[in-house]
Amino acid sequence: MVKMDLELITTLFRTSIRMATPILLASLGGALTYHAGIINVAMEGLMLISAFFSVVFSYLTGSALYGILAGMLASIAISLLYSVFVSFLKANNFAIGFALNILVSSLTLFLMRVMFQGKNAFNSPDIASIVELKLKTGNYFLDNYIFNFSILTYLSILIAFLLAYVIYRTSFGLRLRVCGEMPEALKAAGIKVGFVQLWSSILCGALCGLAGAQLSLYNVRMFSRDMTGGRGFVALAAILISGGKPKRILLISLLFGVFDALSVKLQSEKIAPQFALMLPYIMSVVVLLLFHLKTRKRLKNA
Amino acid sequence: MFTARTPSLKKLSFSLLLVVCILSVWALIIWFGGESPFKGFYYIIDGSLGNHYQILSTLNKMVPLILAAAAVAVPAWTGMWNIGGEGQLLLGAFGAALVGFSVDFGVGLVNIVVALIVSAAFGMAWAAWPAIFKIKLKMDEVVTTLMGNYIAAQIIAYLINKPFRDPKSPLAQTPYIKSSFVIPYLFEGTQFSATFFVAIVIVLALFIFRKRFLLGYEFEITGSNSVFAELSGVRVSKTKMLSMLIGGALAGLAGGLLVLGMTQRVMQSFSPGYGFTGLLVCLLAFNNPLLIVGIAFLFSVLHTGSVNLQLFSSVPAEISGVLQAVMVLFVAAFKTFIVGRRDG
Repeated sequence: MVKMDLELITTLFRTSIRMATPILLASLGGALTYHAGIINVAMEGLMLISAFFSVVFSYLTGSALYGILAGMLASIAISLLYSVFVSFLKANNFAIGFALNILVSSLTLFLMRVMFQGKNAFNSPDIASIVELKLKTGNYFLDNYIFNFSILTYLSILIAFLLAYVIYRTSFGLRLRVCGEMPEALKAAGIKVGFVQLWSSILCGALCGLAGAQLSLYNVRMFSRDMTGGRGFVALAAILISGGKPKRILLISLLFGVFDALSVKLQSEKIAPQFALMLPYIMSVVVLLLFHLKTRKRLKNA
Repeated sequence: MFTARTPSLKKLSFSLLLVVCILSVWALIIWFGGESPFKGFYYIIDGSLGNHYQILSTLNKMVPLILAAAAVAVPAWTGMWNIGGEGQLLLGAFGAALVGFSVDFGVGLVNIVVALIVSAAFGMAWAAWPAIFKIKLKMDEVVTTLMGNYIAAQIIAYLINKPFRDPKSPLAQTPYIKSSFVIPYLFEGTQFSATFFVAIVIVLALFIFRKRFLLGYEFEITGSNSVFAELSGVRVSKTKMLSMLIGGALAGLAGGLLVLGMTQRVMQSFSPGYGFTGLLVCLLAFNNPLLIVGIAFLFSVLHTGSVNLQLFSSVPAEISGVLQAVMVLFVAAFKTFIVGRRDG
């Protein structure tokens, strides 16, 4: 009995980490544009285009690394487009973000139909998966809780701490934050707001690219239409709750990962699978709601 | 806003350049899909406007697009983003179906009106909670309305799978609505029905409301400057709330009209993304009700035309979504040069 519970907890933990990784990567990317003054609603599309091109190039070259790189490049390209519209053409970021999301959603479907002859999903044994940090120490805890995750999981945690340093301790981070909070000051210092935002968008594109690759080359190893399923907006919720602080994002993404894992687990239980499937979305609304209730109380007390 | 409205040579040439750009990228995409662009355009036009059946079916396809776009536009007048049209539409459709297969008031017209009111109420209810959260707690309505789509899709999937599943059907779908609820097709061989005129009347009503009514003006100033609006005595939160509720009702109504006028039941994958296409239509129409009709027509041509394109070539029908989104991006890019910057 005890053994079974331990197995269950281990599976849940591992699924949580697996599901949390793309959300973490995307929200770290979005945090960069958030600090630069852009609420990034295009992350959904960035992840989706990367998920698609990762699968395609991993399939064509047989190498997950080329897949990831292709996905990142595609994601960066869309992110650059977003940035040009928002920062230089001064278009509304929500309007352009959603237009891009819808473009990517139909473009990936269109390309899949053209390239792989009319299917709603593309999978093949030739798609190379992202490698895990394979280490068998013989210790149950180390093997299941520390090692043997996707290398992108370790990378994402590293990036979280790196960004915590970059955003609050470097001159680039300072420019980023000033760009979001006081763009006039940046202008006065002779730095172009648009270019700071452009750089943050490029980095955001790269991180969302990694997120998409983790989704399609590790979590499921296939591409299906709209497979990101709102994760870009779960990531946006994580950014809004954390105020763009990387270490907090780390915790919140993990929390959202747990809900995703519970959703996967509950689907095999007796309750209707639809309730399991809606759980992550309900919980991200609930967490956002709790956060707002708390801040409102704090404002009232102050 | 204050730029002269007279068409200058510069604006005219930019508009022309815009059309050329859109058409050439469209041609490129069709070519990539495996068809020569000229033939591709021909198939699209011929398949959507070639004969009167196709014209009627193109017009029919406009109905959900017009209403889904209006569902985004009305909240946008007050500065609210309603991205939840898809979920509101689904719930509205279910509301209409629920009334349609479970009750009967004896008179066809009463039946239809009641079913449509219920569908609007269902859509409205689904827009209400993000609106309340936004107004009371400043919770970002983009995130909540979007999450609402996924939640609504699962709720509907559950309802048509378990409690309201048609026992006679092997598929997860509701029973058919009673025949007294059906809005009949007007012509043999097409699905065109009076729902089209309902959509047009609603758009005209919205246009008049916006331009001729005090409340419409209050919507407008709330959207352009909420501080000024508050100072001039407009109750901003009430206005915002109302605009969101109207938006939800319109999306719900779109679902209701689809059920009564076309599908006669709610099934799995009921909406192929009407809510999101409606959002694109609204973005292109700059929230203007009359422009929505024009853009919805164009989108509908692309949509029905692409189905025809798929019949005659190797190009998949999903190309219509790409063509539509590309157009939105180009118009957004050129907007600054043609109409001038509205919010500077």
